[in-house]
Amino acid sequence: MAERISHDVTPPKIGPDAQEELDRLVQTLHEHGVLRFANDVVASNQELLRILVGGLNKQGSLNAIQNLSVIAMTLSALPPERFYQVMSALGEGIEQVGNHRHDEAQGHAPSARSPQKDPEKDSAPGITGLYRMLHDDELWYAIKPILAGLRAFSERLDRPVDKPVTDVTGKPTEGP
Amino acid sequence: MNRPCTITFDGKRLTGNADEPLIDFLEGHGIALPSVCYHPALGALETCDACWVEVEGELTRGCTLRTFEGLAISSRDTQATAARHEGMDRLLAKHELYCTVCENNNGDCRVHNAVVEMDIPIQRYEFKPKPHPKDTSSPFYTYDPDQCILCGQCVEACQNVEVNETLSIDYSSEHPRVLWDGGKAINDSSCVHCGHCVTVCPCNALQENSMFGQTGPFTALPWSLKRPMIEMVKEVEKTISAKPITGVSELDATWRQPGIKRTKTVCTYCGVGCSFEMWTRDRHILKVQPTESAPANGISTCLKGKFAWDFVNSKERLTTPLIRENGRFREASWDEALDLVASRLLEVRDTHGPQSLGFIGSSKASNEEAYLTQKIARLIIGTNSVDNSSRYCQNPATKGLFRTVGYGGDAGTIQDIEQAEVVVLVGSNTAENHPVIASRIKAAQKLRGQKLVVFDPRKHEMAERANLFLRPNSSTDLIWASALSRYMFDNGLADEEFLSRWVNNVEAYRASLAPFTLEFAEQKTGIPKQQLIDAAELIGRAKSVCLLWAMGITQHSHGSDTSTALSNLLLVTGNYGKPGTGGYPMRGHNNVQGASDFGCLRNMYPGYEKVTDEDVRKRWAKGWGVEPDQLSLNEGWGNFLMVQAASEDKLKAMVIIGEETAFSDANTHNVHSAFESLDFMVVQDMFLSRTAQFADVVLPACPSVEKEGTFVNTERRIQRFYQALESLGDSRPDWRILTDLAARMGHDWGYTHPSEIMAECASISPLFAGVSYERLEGWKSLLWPVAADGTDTPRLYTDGFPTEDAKASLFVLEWQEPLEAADDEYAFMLNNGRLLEHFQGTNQTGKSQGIWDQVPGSFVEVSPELAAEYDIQDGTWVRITSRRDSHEFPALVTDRVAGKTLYLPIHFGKPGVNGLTGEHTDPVVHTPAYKETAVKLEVLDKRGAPPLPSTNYRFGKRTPNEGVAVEVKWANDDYRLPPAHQTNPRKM
Repeated sequence: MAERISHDVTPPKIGPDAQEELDRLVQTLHEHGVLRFANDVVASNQELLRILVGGLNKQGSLNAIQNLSVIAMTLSALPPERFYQVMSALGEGIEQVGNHRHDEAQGHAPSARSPQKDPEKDSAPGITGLYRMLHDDELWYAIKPILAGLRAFSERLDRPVDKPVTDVTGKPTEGP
Repeated sequence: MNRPCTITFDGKRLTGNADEPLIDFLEGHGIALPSVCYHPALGALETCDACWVEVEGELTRGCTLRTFEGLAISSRDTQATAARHEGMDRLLAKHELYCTVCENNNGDCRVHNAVVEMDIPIQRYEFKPKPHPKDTSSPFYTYDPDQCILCGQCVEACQNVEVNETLSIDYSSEHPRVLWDGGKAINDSSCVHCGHCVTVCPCNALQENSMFGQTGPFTALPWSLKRPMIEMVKEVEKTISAKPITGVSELDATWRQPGIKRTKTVCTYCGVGCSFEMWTRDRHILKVQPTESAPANGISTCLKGKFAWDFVNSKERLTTPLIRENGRFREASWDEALDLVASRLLEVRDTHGPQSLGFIGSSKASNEEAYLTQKIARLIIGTNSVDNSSRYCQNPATKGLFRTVGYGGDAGTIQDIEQAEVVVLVGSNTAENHPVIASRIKAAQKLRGQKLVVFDPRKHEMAERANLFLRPNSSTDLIWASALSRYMFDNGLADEEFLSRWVNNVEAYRASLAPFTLEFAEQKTGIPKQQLIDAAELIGRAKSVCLLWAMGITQHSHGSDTSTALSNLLLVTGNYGKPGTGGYPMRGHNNVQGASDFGCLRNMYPGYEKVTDEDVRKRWAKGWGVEPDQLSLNEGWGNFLMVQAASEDKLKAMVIIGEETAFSDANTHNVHSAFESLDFMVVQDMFLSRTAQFADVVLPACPSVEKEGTFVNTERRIQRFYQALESLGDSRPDWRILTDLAARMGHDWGYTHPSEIMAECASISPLFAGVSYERLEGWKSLLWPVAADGTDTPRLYTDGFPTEDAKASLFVLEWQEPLEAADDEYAFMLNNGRLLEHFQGTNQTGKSQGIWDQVPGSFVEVSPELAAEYDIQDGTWVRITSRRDSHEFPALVTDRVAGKTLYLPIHFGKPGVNGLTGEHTDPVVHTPAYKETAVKLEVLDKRGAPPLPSTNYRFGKRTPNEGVAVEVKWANDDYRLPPAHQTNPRKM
């Protein structure tokens, strides 16, 4: 008589395991030449880096890096809603400028894209007209932010900057 | 148990231990107060000025504060914040940040981490290179002054932890830097390359050479590429601030982590038992990094433990079993090799009887492997002829302790040695053979006024540092030890209360001391009587004395008796069972203690239970599931007797595991011929050692870093080591080899992990009842005896001695002349021993080129008086002839030896010291009397270069100082207390 034996079944393998998934990925990368490229890059990394560093380490490149960084820093300082407001306004302004057509102003036949304009409005205002414009609250309301921006821009230009990082952080530095 | 206290930090109440350094306290609460120069093992150095806080409105360096109830600290005040930033700005003026291409940006760079924690937008002061070149002279580490922040942790570690007293910083100089011997190159100085300075350096100013180009994806770039990259980033940083750059270096530190493995391991050189993290990347060993958590060594290491691990990846490693065939070795599979070993061992047993086989276990392998070795010998073969290399070194010391106090191990811990009022070193070149313990003694002497007494024929470093240095004639130590005991009784310095309470046989012992007058002692030992009195007074009047001894005592024809005499002296003066007391035989190999503890002894089961005891045999037979009569009641042969038996054709087969018996046993001529006469010999080793060359089958074994297990250090401390690397090639851990071998011999024990072996041993041996891998996890350790509940015994004999009446015994001794002494023909005594740089037969250290650069080869030390008499200079070749053989060596003239005593390092195999030593042994334990070798000296007409290069540390001139002299910096007129700005931050 055979005695009772306790036995734990070895769990069967169901579905691909991580190794098989990895093998498939490696095969796909191989078929599409990605591995070959990666190998080439890794094998020549020092030379590639030398070229990269050599290219970047020129005054023009350094200026570009820093200028791009300045843009990034400036953008990082603006609240998104304010930047959105300005960019939207800028967008609409550009739209208006883009829509302006001198030929229409000079009485030529309007194109299909532009609405009919009043020739009177596009003609030179003259002294009287200028005087009237100075009393045009609606126009003044439109121009005022631009003038305020110009003033801030001008004042900022007058302030000397030694190192941007000091200007931003307030901490003087002799340099790293 | 520490008292609790609650402090307030930035308005937050934190509870923890009182009187704890604030930095550690905060770290325990997950708060990082920036601190670069603070190290828990070194304390507050106050050099970095980066940890300012406010307490009661006053600015204070946070590192100087210790917690107490009610302490209120603010770190957010403007002043404190500004002061911390000013401190960091000064550091960055001295340290060039290039973290992403720096080898040290691995998450533990304290400069980098402080910059991150403080969110520094840009450094105030520009970094400017210092007018000092990088020092690359050491084969092991590099000093870069341009990265050095002058924090002085290296100086503190060198001066007050290692106490090699090489490093200093002169803050008053124009361009301060770390100095070796006041301004030498590292390799030209007294630096012993112990690595303390590198270990504690908070940045990359001091860096292990093994790290260079290895740690990060960009660290391997050449400097021709790194330099323009660094300059480019610096330029850009002026505009965009340091923060994005710091962010990149944080990313870099993060992506390095998966590739760098940190594994706790235990050193495999001497018996101190240093544990540390080994950092590896794939198979490359990046570095050894000790931590303050290591119970025996803290942040300390020696040259070998820190830097000599090249053997692990040596191309000479054995990775395939070898079988002797037609006079050659051929590679074989494990199946074939193990089958052959199993069948031949059983065949020898069945043909010639169990006594015809002998086993030598390894003092370098694990406890579990020692246990399996003796289990195979006792259970499968039926012999007690199993031993380990303690037979060649410390069995006499163990015997002396068994005779007097009962346990064959150190009476206390390294902490006891540190806190003793007096430490006595006898025949122990501690600074070279147990460097980390020597550091503790040197520090106790330097910082806390501990008194050091040294008895030694050789003036080694500890002798030079001793308060009393006594130079006995060779083999006369029993006399002065007994004379000192007598002096104690005669002058009221014996501890009568201790003797009456704890010690038997006092009167008989006292009577036996009659011959040991000071006059007799002076006559025989050559030590002036007054010096003996001075030593006796110092020892007798001290509240606590630790006595350490080593091979200078044990490797004599009466080493057991002399060891007994030393233990007697400790009993007479009451120096057992109390803090800072006890006898400490210094174990020479990492696990020579454990190999004996776990049963590789001809007369003891694991836990020092006699094989001749029927009850003991019954318990072990039951534990192993066999009948008692399967285990022999007869003592077996030890190493020395096994080899003798082989030469007499009584022993037919031997298994030798990780021991270089063909090199280390006395009189190698006889050992070699004995091996040649064996019918069958198996060797397990990492290398094809000299011993393995005699084998019929060689089995490739793994070093400790490729397996798991435990070791016991000289303190009786059991420590776990973990696997850092995969087995190289087809090599295997010894425990696996032995398990597989046993299975092929019909005993399938089925061990799948060493923890199972330890559990089995603990279940049978009372000495290890509470030992388990769980209780040894990480940095935890246990000192035997370990009770079943896990309570261990850091200090022995606190509640009596392990005898029936709980009393120790004074053991009566008689002085006997040594078995070999100088005479008219052999007029010189050849002392011998280790050097700091090498270990045994150089099987491990010999794979490190840096070690060979320090000590290129063999030499014999000759005293200046002898050199003058014989016209010997450094490099003069001499012929040394003993009663066995003759070898030639270049001479080294040094006052480390005196008169007609020579000294020969034991490490160099061709020619080796054991061609000269004899077979005279201690009659009790059969330890060869290596130190009793009389020789004649002949000067040859041959001169070469001095055998030690001038760069060897022994020629350096140490520059002792009190540590980091930050007061000099503060006293400088230029120094401004932060947050005020500094005119010359690179100097301050």
